[in-house]
Amino acid sequence: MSGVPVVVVGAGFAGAAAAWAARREGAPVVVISDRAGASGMFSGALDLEPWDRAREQAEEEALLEDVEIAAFFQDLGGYELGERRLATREGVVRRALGSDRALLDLTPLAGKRIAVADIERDDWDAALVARSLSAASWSEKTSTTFVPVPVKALRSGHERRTSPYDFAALHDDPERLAGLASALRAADAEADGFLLGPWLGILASTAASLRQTLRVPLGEVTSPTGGAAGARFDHARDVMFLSRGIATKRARVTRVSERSGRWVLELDETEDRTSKELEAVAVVLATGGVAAGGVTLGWQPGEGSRGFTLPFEAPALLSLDDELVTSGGSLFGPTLERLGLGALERVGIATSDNGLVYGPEGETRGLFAAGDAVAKRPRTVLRAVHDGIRAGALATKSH
Amino acid sequence: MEDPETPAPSDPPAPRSQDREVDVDVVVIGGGVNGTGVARDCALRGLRVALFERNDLAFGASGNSSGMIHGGPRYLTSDPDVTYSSCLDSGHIQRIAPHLLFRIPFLMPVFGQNELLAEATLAAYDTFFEVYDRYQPLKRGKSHLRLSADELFSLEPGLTPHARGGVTFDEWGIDGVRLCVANAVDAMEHGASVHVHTTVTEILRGESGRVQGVRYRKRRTGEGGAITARVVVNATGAWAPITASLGGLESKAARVRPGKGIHVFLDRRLTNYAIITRAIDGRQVFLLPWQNVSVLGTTDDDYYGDLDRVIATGDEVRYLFQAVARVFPSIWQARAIGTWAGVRPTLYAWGPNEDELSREHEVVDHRMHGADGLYSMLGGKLASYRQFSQEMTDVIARRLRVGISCKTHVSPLPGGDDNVDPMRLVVEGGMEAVTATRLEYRHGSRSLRVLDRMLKSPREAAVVCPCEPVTEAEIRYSVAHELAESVEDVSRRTRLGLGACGGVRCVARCGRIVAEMTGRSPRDGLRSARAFLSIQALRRRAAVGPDQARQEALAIAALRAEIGGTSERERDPAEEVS
Repeated sequence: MSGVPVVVVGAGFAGAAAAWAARREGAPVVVISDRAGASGMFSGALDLEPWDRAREQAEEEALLEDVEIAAFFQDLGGYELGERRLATREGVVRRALGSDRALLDLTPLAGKRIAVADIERDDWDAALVARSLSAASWSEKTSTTFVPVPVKALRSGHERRTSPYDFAALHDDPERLAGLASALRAADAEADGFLLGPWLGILASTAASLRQTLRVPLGEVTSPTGGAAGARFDHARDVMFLSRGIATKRARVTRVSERSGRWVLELDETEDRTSKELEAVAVVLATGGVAAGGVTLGWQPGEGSRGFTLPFEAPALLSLDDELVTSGGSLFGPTLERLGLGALERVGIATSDNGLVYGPEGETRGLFAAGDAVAKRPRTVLRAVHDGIRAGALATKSH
Repeated sequence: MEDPETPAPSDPPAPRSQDREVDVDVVVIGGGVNGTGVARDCALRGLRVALFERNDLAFGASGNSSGMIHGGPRYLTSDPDVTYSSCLDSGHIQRIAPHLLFRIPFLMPVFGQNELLAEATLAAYDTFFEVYDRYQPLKRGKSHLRLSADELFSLEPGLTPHARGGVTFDEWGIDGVRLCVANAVDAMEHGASVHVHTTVTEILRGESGRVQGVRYRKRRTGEGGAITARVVVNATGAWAPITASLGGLESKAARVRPGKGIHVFLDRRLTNYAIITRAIDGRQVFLLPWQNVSVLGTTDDDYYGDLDRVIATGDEVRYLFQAVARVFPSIWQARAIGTWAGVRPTLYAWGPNEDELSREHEVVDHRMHGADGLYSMLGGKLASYRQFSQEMTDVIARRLRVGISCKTHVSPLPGGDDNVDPMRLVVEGGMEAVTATRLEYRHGSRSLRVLDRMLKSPREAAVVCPCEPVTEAEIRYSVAHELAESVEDVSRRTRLGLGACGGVRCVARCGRIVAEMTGRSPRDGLRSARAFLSIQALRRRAAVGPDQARQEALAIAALRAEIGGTSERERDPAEEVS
C-alpha cells in the first residue's frame, strides 16, 4: 500500500464502513481514532429501535435490501441482518433489523418455553426479567413464556460484581466456556431455548461454540453500555482492518485543512503525545455525535467554544434543526430547555445528501462526514454503515 | 418471592383516646417535615392521627431544601433568641437522629482590592463569629477560626487567588427526605395512619362552621372516602392557601409568599468546606459538600407556577454558576448531574425583596375565619421543624385536654436509638464498604433490618443502583416499610437513580421490583421507571454542561435500545413497547 491515503477519522460503525469501502476501491486507507465512541458501547441490536416514527422505520427497513451493507457485515463477521425479536436486559421484547449473532433471536421460539439463566450476578435479576418478558405483548400474543432457571456458573464471590465486559471475556477461555456449558446442562431446564445475560465472550466464535456444544437455541439479551456486544464490535473491526490492510493510528485530530489540493490533518499522537501532520487525498469524518465526543458543548462565558462545536478545527459547519449553528445570541450556550435534550442527537455536521461536508464556502470537495457525526440522521447502525460506505467510496473516487 | 409483599398497613388505627364519635383526633394535611413532625408529636402524646399527603413524603420544600440544620447565624444581631433556640434545637435533632446529621464546615472568604478594607471586614467577621461561638456548644459545633490567605488556599486550593483571608464556622447537614420519612415511620409506629399520594378534596365543616374532618382521594386509583376528626392541621407549606380553600375559606386566610429556590448538584465533592460567596445581586450563595455530591444553592424568587411541578430553569442555574465561579473558577468545568427545586412557604408580606422576608413561622387558628378546629402552619424552615411541630401540637393538646407533654426532643427517631458500625454490615452482609456506609447513613440502627433481609435472601444484597449505591434489600425495605409506591418514591428515599448515569442502569430494575411488591404488572413497573426518567430529564436539562452532554446523549440511545422511547416526555412513544 503506497501513495497518499484516504483518511477516516473515527473507528465506529461509520468509520469502519468508510474505511472498508475506500479500501475495496483500492485506495490506501488510514483510520485515526483516539478513544471509545458510541459503537463500542452499543447493545448488539443493529438499529436503535423502537422508533416512534413510521417513516424512519420504513427507511431503515429499506436498508436491509442494500447489498453493500450486507457485504460489509459479511466481512465484519458476527452479525446477522433481517427482522428479529430480541430480549433486552430490562425485560422488554423489541424489534431489530439484525443483531450481533451472540444475541438470542426470539422469532423462531414463538410459542415456546424459554429458560432464563439465573446466574447470581449483581447486575442480573433473572426472575424479574423473566416475569417481565413473559408479560410483554409479543409473548402474550404468541404464548411464549420465560422461566428463570438457576445456573451455577460463578467460581468466586468476586465474579458477582466484576464488570459485564470482564465477565463476558472470561468465557473466551475454552475451559471456562466448557464450565458454563456443563452448568447450563446441569440446570436441566427442559426448555426450548436458553436466554443468557451478555456473557458470551469478546470473540464472535464463543457463542457459536457454546451453541454447538449444547445443541439448543441459546443467546444473550442485549448488552448494557460498555458491555460485551460493544467489545465484540471493537474486536471484529480490528480483525477486519488487519485482514483488509487498513492502517490504524491512535491519535487525536486537532485540525483538518486543505493545502494546495491536498488535505492535511494535524494530530496529537495518543501514545507519545507528539504532534504530527498527515496528508490525505480525502477525509471522512466519522467522529460521532455528542455521545461519542464528536460534537462538544461549551457553556462557559468568555471561553472560545460556546455552544455546539467540533472538537477540532475544520472547514465544516454544524447544523441543528435545519439551521446552521452559529455563535448566536447566547453567551452561555444553547438553551436545552427550549430545544429539548433530543437536540444532543439532532445536532451534527451539515452535509449534502451524498455526505459532502458544508463549509464556510459551501460544499467542501474531498471532505465527507458519515454516521452520528451528521446532523439530523436517525442514530442507527444501519444508517451509519450505509453513509460510511457511500462516503468511503466517494472519497476514493473524488480525486 | 411468589407472594408480593404488601406495604405497611395504613388503615385508620383503632381508637385510643376517649372520644369515639370521630374516626381520629387529628387529621394532618401535608407530608413534609412539619406535617410528619406534627403527626409524630401527636402520636407520641397518644392522639389518634391520620396524615394525608397529595404527592409523596418530602415532595415539596422539605425534600428540596439546602439540607442543613443550621444554627441561624443570620438572626444573631437582630434576634439572638432565635439563634439560641435554633442552636438548641439543632442539638435536639442530633440527639434523636444522630445518623442523619453530618458536619459541614463553612468557609467565608474575604475579597477586596483594598487591603485595609479587607482587614476590617475580616475583623468584623471574626467578632461576629466569636459571638456565634457561644451558641455552638448547644449543637456540638466547633469554634470559628480566622484564616490567612495562605491558610485558606491550603484548605481549598481551588479558590481564586484574590482572597485576602477568611473565617470558618461550623454547621450540620441533613438529608431532609430521610428526616420526613423517619418522622412518618415513627408516627405510624405510634398508631398514626399515613396516606401518601392521597389528596384531600374537601375539608368538611358542620353548620357552625366547625371542622369535622376531610374527604380524600387516592390519586392513582381514584379510591376515596371521608374521615372525621376533631382537629385538622394544614401543614402543606406553599400549598397552604390552596388547602385552606378546600375548607371554603378564602385562600388569603392562609396566605404565604411562595419563594422558589433551586439547587444544582455536581457529580462529586469538589471541596471539603462549604464556600460562601455573593451573587451578582449581592445575595449570599454557596457551594456545599453534601453527602457524596457538591451542591450549589440557592435562589429565592417569587413563584407563581404549578407547585406539583417545580423545575429549575437555565437562568437560575447560570446565575448560581456565575456566582460561584467568581471564587471557585473551575466550577464551569465541573459536571452538573441534576437540579432540585422547591418552593418556600415564606410568611406573607407585600413589598420586601424575597431575601428580606422573615423565615419565622406561625400557627394560624382559623376560628377567626369561622372554621373552628382548623389550624394552618405557615412559614418555617427545615431546621425549626421540631420546635414548630411542638408549638402546633401544644395548641392541639390544650384544645383536646391531653396532659402529656412533648417528647420529640428526647425520644429517638427510628434508627436514631443506637450506633451501628458499617463494618458489621460489610462482614455480615457481604456488602462493599461504601454501600454499607451509605445504608447506615440513611437508616441508622435500622440498617440492621435491611441487613436481615439480605441474610434471609442473599440475592437482595445485589447492588441495583451502582452510583449511590443502593441494594435490592433497601429498595424492598422502602416499599415495605417506608410507603414508597413508585420508582420516584424509592429514589427520593434512597437517592437511587440520582447519580452520574442518570438512572439508566437501575430504574427499570427498580420498577420491576416495585411492581412485583405492590402486585402491579411488569409493564406498570416500566411505566413508573419511564415516568421517573422523564421528570429527571426535565430536572437535568437546565444544567447540562460539556461533560454531562455526552452522558445525556448516551443515555438517550441506551434507553431507546433497552426500554423504548426516550427520556423526554415530548418524544415519549406509545406505551406499547413490543
